[in-house]
Amino acid sequence: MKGYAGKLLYRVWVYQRYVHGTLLGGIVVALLILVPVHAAAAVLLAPTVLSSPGGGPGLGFVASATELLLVFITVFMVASYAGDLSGGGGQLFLSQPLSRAGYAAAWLVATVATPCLVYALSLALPLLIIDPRLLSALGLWNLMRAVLEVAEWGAFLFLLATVSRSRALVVILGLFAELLLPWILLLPMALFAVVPGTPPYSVRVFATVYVVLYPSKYSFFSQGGAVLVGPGAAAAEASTLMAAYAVAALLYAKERMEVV
Amino acid sequence: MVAIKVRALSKSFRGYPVLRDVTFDVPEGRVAGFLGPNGAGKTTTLKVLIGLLRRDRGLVEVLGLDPWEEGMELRERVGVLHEKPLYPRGARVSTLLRYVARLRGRSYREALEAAKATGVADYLEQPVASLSRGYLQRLGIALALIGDPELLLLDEPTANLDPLARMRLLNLVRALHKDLGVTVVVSSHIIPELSLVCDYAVFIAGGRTLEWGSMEELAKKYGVSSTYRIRAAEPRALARELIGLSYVSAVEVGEGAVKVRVEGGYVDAFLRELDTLGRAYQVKWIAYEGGELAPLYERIVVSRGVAS
Repeated sequence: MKGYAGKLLYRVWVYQRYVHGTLLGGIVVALLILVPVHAAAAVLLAPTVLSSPGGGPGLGFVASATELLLVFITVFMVASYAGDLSGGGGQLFLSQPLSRAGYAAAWLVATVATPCLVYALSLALPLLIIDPRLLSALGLWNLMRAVLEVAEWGAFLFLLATVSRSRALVVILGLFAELLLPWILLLPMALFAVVPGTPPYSVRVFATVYVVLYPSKYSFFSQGGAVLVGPGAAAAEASTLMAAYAVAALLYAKERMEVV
Repeated sequence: MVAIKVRALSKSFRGYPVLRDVTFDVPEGRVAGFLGPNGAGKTTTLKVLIGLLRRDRGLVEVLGLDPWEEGMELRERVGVLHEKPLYPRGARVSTLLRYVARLRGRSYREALEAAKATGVADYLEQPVASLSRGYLQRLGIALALIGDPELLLLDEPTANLDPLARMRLLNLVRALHKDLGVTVVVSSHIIPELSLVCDYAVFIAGGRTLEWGSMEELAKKYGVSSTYRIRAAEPRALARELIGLSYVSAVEVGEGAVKVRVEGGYVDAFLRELDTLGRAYQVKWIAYEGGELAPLYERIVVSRGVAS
């Protein structure tokens, strides 16, 4: 069994290197944009951020803007996985001694985990190098929740790609769910916000679901008892959801994924 | 030993049955032709055999393994060329060879040998997208050969190849079979080419197997002419005797052996006659050389009105 597991892991390792190689261009371009932007923002905003008591919103705005790039990268990388499944790579490599779950796991790491890690490092490292207090001002929790949100939706899109193999569906649904839907969902809740007093229970449940789906936007509901769980619990539930999507995708790949 | 065992295999796509109770065997060490009209279910069957598609019902064993459940172990021992080999368009030829070799636990040098054998070695640094259809086919064959597979599944292997490349490929298949004992399943529409290499055949049409067996058995059963090679101490004298038999349509002498073509339906009579002549002309061995696939296809597939 040890030999089998060893072979399995070795092949997933070999294959993820291939997948990372094919996606390397996108990762390098992202780094070439993110690192200078984050470094420049840190240098330019450091005097303001470090002198104001609350740290100021400057770094948060920059991080929110560059997070959009992370969203685009993960969506298009997951779409390239759907393309590989339907367009030839899947046929070629699943005809080799590579398990279906191993094939999917390699793509999951390359399309979701790697971009999120690259983004987090591209933001955290320049701040740490320039002045570690900048990272505290940005808030490590805020950074983690932002990355978690993209990873959560990335895992969902990955599951969708595994089942549907449709690049178009992944791109359309991914951009809609990550860029538009969070703002659309805020509209009905904003109506209740104008009514004085604690919102009705159904609205609080809705808000709780919202912060689990979009943990980086927890601060929208941090006052007035609108959310049933704390920020840590919301992040934990988002992590659980992300893990569930990932496991579901791998299980689907193992049990049902066919290459027509 | 049986390399491939398929029993009552059924497969549907969105409720439309593509394979219905497909049943056949391919013994180890054979070169099996997989024949049938367009839409017969050949490609789907091959994809089930390699574990890319899951069967709905039935039993499938390839080299003693279940392709869907034990696909990774199976694919260590099987090389496959798909009907329309698709590749990641941006990848270079050398990258694909390198990674497939690594997945198969082989060195890049071994992958290069396969590339040389199929004539794709001059294009190693080219992107796959820049290759012609013929060279994509050669690349697919090279990838299938990496790792010394025990079983090769080739779906339309000569499609898009020029005549010289076709002959080279057929010679390669023959050499792999003869020298290394590799079992080969070749799906093709080009029956004369299959006749050159196959000693076994599986006929399929409309998602059902019509017939399967060794060429010798099938030729006997369907009364199709067969060719035998006979080594004897006095081949010329034996040839003179054989040419007089009414059911022998061709006799050829060369390299100490006689090659005889026997009309369909007379194989048993021929073998009885040879038994008698054998003592007089000191026959050392008799080998079945092959039957004709075209008349077999005609009788098994076309006569049933299932050919397209």
